[in-house]
Amino acid sequence: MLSKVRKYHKWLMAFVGIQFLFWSITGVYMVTMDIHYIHGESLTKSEEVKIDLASVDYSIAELAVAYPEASQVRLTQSMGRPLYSFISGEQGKVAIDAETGAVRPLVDEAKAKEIAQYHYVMNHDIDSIRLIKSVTDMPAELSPRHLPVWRVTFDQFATPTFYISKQTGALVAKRHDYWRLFDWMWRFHIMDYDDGENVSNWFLFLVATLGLMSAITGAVLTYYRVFSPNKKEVI
Amino acid sequence: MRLFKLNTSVHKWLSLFVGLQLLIWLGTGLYFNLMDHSKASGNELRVHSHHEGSITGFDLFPIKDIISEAPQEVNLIWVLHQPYYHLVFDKGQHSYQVRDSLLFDAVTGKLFNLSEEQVLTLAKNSYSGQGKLTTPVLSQPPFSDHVRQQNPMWQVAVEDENNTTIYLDSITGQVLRHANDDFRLKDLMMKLHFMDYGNSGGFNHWLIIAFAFATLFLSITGVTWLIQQYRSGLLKLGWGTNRQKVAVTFSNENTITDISAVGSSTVLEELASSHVYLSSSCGGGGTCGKCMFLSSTQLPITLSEQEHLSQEQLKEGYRLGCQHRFSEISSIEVNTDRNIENHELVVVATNFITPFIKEVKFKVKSGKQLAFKAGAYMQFDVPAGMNSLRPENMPENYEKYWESYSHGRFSHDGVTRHYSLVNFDEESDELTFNIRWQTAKDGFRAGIGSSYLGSLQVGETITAKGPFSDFYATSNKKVSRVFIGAGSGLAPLRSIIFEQLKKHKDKSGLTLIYGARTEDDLLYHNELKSLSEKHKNFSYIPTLSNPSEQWQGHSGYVQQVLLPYLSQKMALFPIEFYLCGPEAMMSEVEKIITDAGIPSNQIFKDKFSR
Repeated sequence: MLSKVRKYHKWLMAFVGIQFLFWSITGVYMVTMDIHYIHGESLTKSEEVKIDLASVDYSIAELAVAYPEASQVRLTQSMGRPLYSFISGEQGKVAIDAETGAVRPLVDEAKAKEIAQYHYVMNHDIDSIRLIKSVTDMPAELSPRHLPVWRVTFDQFATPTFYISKQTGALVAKRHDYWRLFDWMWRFHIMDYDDGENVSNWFLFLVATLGLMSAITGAVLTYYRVFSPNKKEVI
Repeated sequence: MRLFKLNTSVHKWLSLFVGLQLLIWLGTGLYFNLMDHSKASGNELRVHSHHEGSITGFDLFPIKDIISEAPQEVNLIWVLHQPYYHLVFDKGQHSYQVRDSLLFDAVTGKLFNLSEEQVLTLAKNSYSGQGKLTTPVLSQPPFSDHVRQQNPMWQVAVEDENNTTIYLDSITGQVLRHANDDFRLKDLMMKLHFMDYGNSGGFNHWLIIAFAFATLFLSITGVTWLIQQYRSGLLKLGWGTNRQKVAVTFSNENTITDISAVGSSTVLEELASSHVYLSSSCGGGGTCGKCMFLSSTQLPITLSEQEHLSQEQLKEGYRLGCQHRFSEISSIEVNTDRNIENHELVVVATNFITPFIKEVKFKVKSGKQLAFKAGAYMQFDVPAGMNSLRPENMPENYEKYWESYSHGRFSHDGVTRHYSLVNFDEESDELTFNIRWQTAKDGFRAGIGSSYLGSLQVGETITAKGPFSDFYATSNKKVSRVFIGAGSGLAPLRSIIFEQLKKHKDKSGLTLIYGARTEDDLLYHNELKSLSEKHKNFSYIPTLSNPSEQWQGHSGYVQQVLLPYLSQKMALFPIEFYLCGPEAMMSEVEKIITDAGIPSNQIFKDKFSR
């Protein structure tokens, strides 16, 4: 009996064993790397700055007159100045100064750099900056709803990268190589090697099923080897 | 260099440590792979309702006039088509982290708290099912349906089949979650997969980290082991079915037996399939070092052997059966008594079934069920003593055959005798033998074994060793089999035929050509006839050398029946031949079939006189 089980264990593992190695390597990475760190939360200064309500001279009533189609209106602050951001019908995202009501100029390269440096927790130089306008030009690590954005990378280990909205100047995404590696680890973990999003793929099903069978045979082996070591004849 | 042993024992102990969790990981992983995502989200009955109003439809209160401490952000939100300012004073990066915020009426600028009725309406608007919603309850964390949530939430239980509970933001009334039994199942699976037994809500905790490292080492040691196996040639796929004969010397008994097996598996496994059991407690993992054999040819030395065998043993040619393929060896010596035990057998029935053949049935006294391949034999210990020259009792109609044999007794030494089993192991709990009473021409002696066994009465015991398997059906599926037997040589053939048909449900062709002297001498004639009527793939061809006038079947020796049969059946399918009977008959038959072009590895003979 035992020899049969051992044979099955060996041959099943000969086919799926390498995926067990992948599962454990990727698993180790994913559990040891703090998910908040992966999300890049340690790359930015914590946002403690409060809005001085008294300075919000431009009222929402005025905004409603100027932009009657405005929805999702938010009052935030950008680098110390209060700012309304909202969606205005066809026009899309709009940001206006909450003190004057003036339309915030679109974020240019210099401004984007300034915003990036402002949020960045450390003091490294900006390595590169470029504007991304279209989905075809966009790296897979960003969601298309944020377009258009400035992509700012810092000259530092793990390539910290900030995405800054061209319209609102908001920091919309933070990435670094640990995030990128995590993404790959995830793909290998769920065995979806095309877009890394589909857990319900047949390849995973096949390997997981075979894997479960080989693990069960392994458990039988362990049981016999550990709990009945004195049985002379177990073949 | 104890690396192999270190590797394998680390593998074993790690598997003990992480085994259960590993099964949980695989099982829950498979669940995630197969689950219905829309159901598992809990949102099956959730609908998105729109509460927005037009910004121009209200006289909005200026934010700067709100009496409040300074917020981080202000959101204009809509609750049931009414505008509100949501002032957030402090919040984390994630919505589940502690948040400090207040809601103000955007028309009056007054602090506003959602009422139970409003919350109930919001919950209702988000739910498309038939269940009745109960009164909302403002609840404090922790929540079993949302472990990470650190903020209070409105909780609205729904009386439906799926035990839905709707959770809403305590300040804004935003619907945060529909939890139902499908969702809770997924949540449980997540918890199991993340080993979140301490309800941390995540997967970055020390328990899973420890298990993940242990599992990583388990995988590494496993893959290392596979690589070692591959290097030792034990991971090669052998699709071939080439059988190979190996001469096995049993050093304890000083006997040699040819064992034929398919060469792709290990020596240990292939010997075991022929019921030769090398000692092994690990089952062929190379970890116990017990399955030693002595090879006449020089075999390569594997890592496992380096660790388990001494330099001297390796030099002499000792190797481990689990480390070499059967195809590597040609003749070996094993230090095992074939691990075949002595059994005390009790006679449970005796019965003359032909004039000279007695059917004797035994049971193992200890009650043990013996497993064996059909075609096996047992070795009986016949003690020294006095036996009758001829049977004392027999059915009347057989008396005439015994008239010329005189009564009397003779003395003899102790001997061992081999008899083939008539039945296969799962046919019954009895061991059935056909004992042909050997009669001596001189009238002073009879067959020692047969006269002793033939005289045993119900309840008497005898010691026998076995069963030994030298003669058995191959495991080939696509082959038809021809069984050729004569006289009491039918026993192992009957056993194999019954095993093939009843135990293995064999559908390929089976033919039995069975020779006897007269109708009375045919063993199990009716049984075989009805078997052939029941199973279309089994044909039964009896032939008599001295038939009565009523006999309608073949007459003559089996060789005479075989010849026309061969020319008719040949070359359609591969055929295996199984022979058992007198030596002369077997060698003649063998010559006939060899001449017909059948290779010798498709011919199997059971030596009639062992």
